[in-house]
Amino acid sequence: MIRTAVVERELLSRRTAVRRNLLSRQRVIQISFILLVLVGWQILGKHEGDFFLAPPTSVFNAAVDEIPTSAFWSTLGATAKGIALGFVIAAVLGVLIGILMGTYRSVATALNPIISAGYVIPEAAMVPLLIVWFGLGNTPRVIAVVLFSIFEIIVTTYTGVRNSDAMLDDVVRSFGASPRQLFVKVTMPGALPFIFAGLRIGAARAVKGMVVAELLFAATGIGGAIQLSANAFRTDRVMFYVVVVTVIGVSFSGAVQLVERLWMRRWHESYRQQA
Amino acid sequence: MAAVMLNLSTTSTTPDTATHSSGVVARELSMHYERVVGRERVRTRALDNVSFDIRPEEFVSIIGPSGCGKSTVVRIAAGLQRPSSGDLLVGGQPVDGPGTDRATVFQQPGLLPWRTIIKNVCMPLEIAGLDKAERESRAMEYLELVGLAGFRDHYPRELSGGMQQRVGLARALAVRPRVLLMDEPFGALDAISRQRMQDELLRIWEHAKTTVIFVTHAIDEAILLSDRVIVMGPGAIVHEATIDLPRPRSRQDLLTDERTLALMRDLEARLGGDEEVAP
Repeated sequence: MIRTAVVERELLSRRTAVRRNLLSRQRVIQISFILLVLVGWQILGKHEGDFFLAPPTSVFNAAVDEIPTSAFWSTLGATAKGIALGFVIAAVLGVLIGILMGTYRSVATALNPIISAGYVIPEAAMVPLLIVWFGLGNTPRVIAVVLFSIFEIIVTTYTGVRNSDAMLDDVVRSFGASPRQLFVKVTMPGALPFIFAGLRIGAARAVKGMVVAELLFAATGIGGAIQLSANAFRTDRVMFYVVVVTVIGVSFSGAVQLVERLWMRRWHESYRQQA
Repeated sequence: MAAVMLNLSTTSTTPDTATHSSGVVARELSMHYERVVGRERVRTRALDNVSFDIRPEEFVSIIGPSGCGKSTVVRIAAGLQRPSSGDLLVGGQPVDGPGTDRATVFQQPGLLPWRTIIKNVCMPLEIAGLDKAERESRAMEYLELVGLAGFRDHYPRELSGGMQQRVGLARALAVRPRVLLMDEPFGALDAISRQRMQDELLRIWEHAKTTVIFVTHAIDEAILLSDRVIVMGPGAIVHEATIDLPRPRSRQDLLTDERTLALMRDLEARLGGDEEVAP
C-alpha cells in the first residue's frame, strides 16, 4: 500500500570481511604507533641498561623464565580469583544499590553523600584499615577489589535508571502497565547500556584494586611478585608483571564487553548507527 | 495507489471491532497546578470547568493554540493525570487510571528502541495478559492494516518517522480500544507523510468505528477528519462546530468547496488566527 525504500543486503566474503577488520586505516595507525614505541623503548633501554629501563627483549626473556614456573601460575591464579570474586560481588551489590537509588528517591537521598565520599576517597588509603580489620587473608583483598570498583557501578546504574525516557514511561503506562511491568519493559532495558559501561570501568578498576592491595600487603599475588622483583632490583621482572596486570585488566574488561555485545546485539548495532 | 484501492475494497485485513466503542463525557473538568516560586504561590489553570459529550463512534477533534490545555484533556482521558476536580467518563464509567478500553497515540511514536516492530505492537498485549501466539497474530493483523507487515523484524530506528508513527497507531489499535486518543499524532511529520497518515486513519476508522478524540492545531486536518470540532482557548472550550460534510471526504474539498472554506475561515477567526496563515 505504501511503498518504502528497498534495502539490499549482501554478505561479504569471509576474506573481504577479515581484511576490512584487520587492515582498516585505524588499525594500521594503531599498530604502527605501538611498534614505534617498542622500538624507541628498545633503543633507550639498551642505552640506559637493564636496571633503569629494561628493554622489551629483557622483559621478553623474563617472561620466558617466569611463565613456565608453577609459582607464576599459582600467583596468577590467586590474583585472578580474587579479582573475579570481588568484581562479581561489586557488580551484584552495585547494580542493586544503583537500581534502588534510581527507583526510590529516599534511598538516593540517604546514600548520595556516602557514594560521593566513597567516590573521592583514595581506596589505597583504606587498605591499611582493611588489614587491621580483616587481617592478611583473602578477605581484605577481595574487599579492596569491591571498594575499588563498586562506586563506578553504583553511579552509572543510578544514572541509567534515572535517565529513563519519560515519553516511553508515559506510553507504556498509558496501556495500563504496573510499576513492575514499567520497570521490566522500559527502565531496565533503557538502563542496560549505562550498567554495562559501569561494569566495564568497574572490571578495569577491580584489577587495579587487587594489585594495589597486594602491593601494600605482605608479598602475595602479582602485586607481591612486583614487590619482590623490585626488592631484588629485577626491573625486567617488574615490567613483565606490569604487562601481566595489563593483560588481566584488558581481558576482564573485554569479557564484560563481550557479554554486553552478545546481550544487546541488534539494538546495540542500530543504536550505534544512529549515534 | 492501486494497492490502496485494493485494500479499501477488501475487508479481510480489517479487524471487526465495530461493535465496541464508548462515549466520552467530561463534567466540569478542571486541572490546576500549584507551585511555589520564591515567596509566591503560582496557580496555573490548565483546564477550567471543561464539559463535553462525545458519542460512541464519533470522531472529535480538539483544536487550540499551544498551551490551551488540549493535551491535558487527552492525558486525563488516558488516565495519565488525575483532574483536580470534575469527572471524565468513558462508557459511563469515571476514568480511574490507564486501561485497555482506551489507547493513546502520542506526538512522538514512543517505540521501545530495543524491541522489534512486532514486539513493540505486542507490548500492550503483554500487559493485557494475552498469550504469545495470540499476541503475535493480533500484532501482525494490525501491522498489515497499517501496511508494515514486512517490517515486523526491523528495529524502530530503521524506519522513517512516518512509518514509526504508523507502528504507534497499530500498537494502539491492537488493544481494540473503545476510545482512541490521539495527541497531535501527525504533528511531527512532514507534509506528505501527514497526508498519507490522515488518509490511512480515515480508512481504518471507517472500518473500526471506534470513538476518536484527536488533538491537533491544524484546522484543515480537523475538518478533513472529524464529525465535530471543539475549539479551545486557554483552559476552556470557546466554540464547537459540527462538520456535516459527506464522507468519504476528499482533500480537494478543502481547497475548493465553498462550505468547507467558509468553515475553515470561521474556525480560523475563533482560534484568534494570529499565527495561522489565512486560506
